[in-house]
Parts: sequence; structure tokens; C-alpha cells
Amino acid sequence: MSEALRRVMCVEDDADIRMILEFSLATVGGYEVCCCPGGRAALQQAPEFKPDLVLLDVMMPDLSGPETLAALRELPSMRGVPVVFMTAKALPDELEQLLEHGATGLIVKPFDPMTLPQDIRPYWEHGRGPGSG
Amino acid sequence: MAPGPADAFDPAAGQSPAVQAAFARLRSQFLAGLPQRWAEIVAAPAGAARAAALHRLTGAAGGYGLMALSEAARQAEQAGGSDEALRAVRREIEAAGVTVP
Repeated sequence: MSEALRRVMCVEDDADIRMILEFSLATVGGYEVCCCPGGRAALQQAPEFKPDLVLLDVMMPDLSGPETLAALRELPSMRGVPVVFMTAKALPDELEQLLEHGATGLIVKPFDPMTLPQDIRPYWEHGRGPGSG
Repeated sequence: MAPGPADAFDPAAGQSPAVQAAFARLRSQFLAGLPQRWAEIVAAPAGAARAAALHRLTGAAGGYGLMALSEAARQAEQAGGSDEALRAVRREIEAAGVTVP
């Protein structure tokens, strides 16, 4: 785990949401950001970008969020990196099922772009917990 | 920052002028794309494809401060994309100042 949260990877298939994520995390939060349109792109870029934390959409057409999470966990450079699901699902049962896939946490969409940079920090700080590595 | 749609709240309020201006540009782009999103929603076959389009709108609209539209899209997704629920989505798009066909 790096000493500071600097690099955040976002995986999101919706272009409008990618734009607001990049604005939030880079312009508001000051993080270095890599936004990927799908799970396959994330798997290609993660070893080079070396994110400190990954925000991962759940419903995506190429690889789903849980499928992408499982594949990311196989990459040596990604072991121990917190992965946080982003989802517009709001039912408690659905959220619990998502966490069972081993994500570090959940951000429910829609998110507030002004507070998201702070909202993700606890997941990075506690990212060494169960399911993160 | 340019005035936003009547039903929107402004997440960037209180931020620096540069951040407010950047957010206003992004929200304008999002609003300009709403007719295309609406067209995709109504063109999608009822069922999973329409639900997925509504699901994406739920996540996107709220990020741009259009909370009523986000909630209408969420309810439409949960209602299986019914005609009545779609009419509510359309009303919220128009309340945001966007004309749809």
C-alpha cells in the first residue's frame, strides 16, 4: 500500500459518468486519474498505472464489475489495492451481495462529485481489511 | 457559473470559480446529450436493455445535480420501463430545460 492516496483508476462504461468522475477526482480532488470504459481496458492499464485505489462500476457490458474485480485480483501489481464498487442499486440485499464478491466497499450512485474525493479516502485507509488482498 | 436547470441543485456551489466553471461546462454537455439518451431509452426493447439505459441515467443525472431526473429514472427502472414511468422521466428531462422529440 502506498504512503498516500494519489492514483485512482475509474472503470465505468457510461461516458457522462466517466467525465464527472474525472472532474471530481482530478479537478476537485487533485488525484492522478485513469478512467477506463470497461473491465478489459482496466486489466490492460492497471499494471502500468499502478492505482492506489480502483472505483469499479458494477453493470458493464464487456466484463461485469465482479468479473473485473476477480481478474484484477489475479494481477500481482493489484494485490492489496482497495477496489470499491460503484452502483446505482440501492436495495440493501443487493448491496450486501455485491460486497460478498470481495470489494473493499461501495459507493452508491449518484455520487456527489464535490465530496467523492473525500468519500473514497476511508476505503484506501482501511484497504488492508478482509477482501482487499 | 451559468444558471442551471430549475430542478437542479448545484454541487459546485461554494467551490472556486474555476471549479464552478468546469462543472458548468460538463453539465451543459450532459444536458446536450439528454435527447440522445432519451431516444436510446425509448428505442430500447422493454426489459433488460431499457432497464440498463435507465440505470445509466440514474447514475449519471444525479452526478450532474439533476436529482429529480435521477430518481425518476430509478423508479422507471424499478417499474420495468412502464409507459407511465417513462412519462415521468420525460417530464423531468423537460423540467431540466431540455426538449426531447
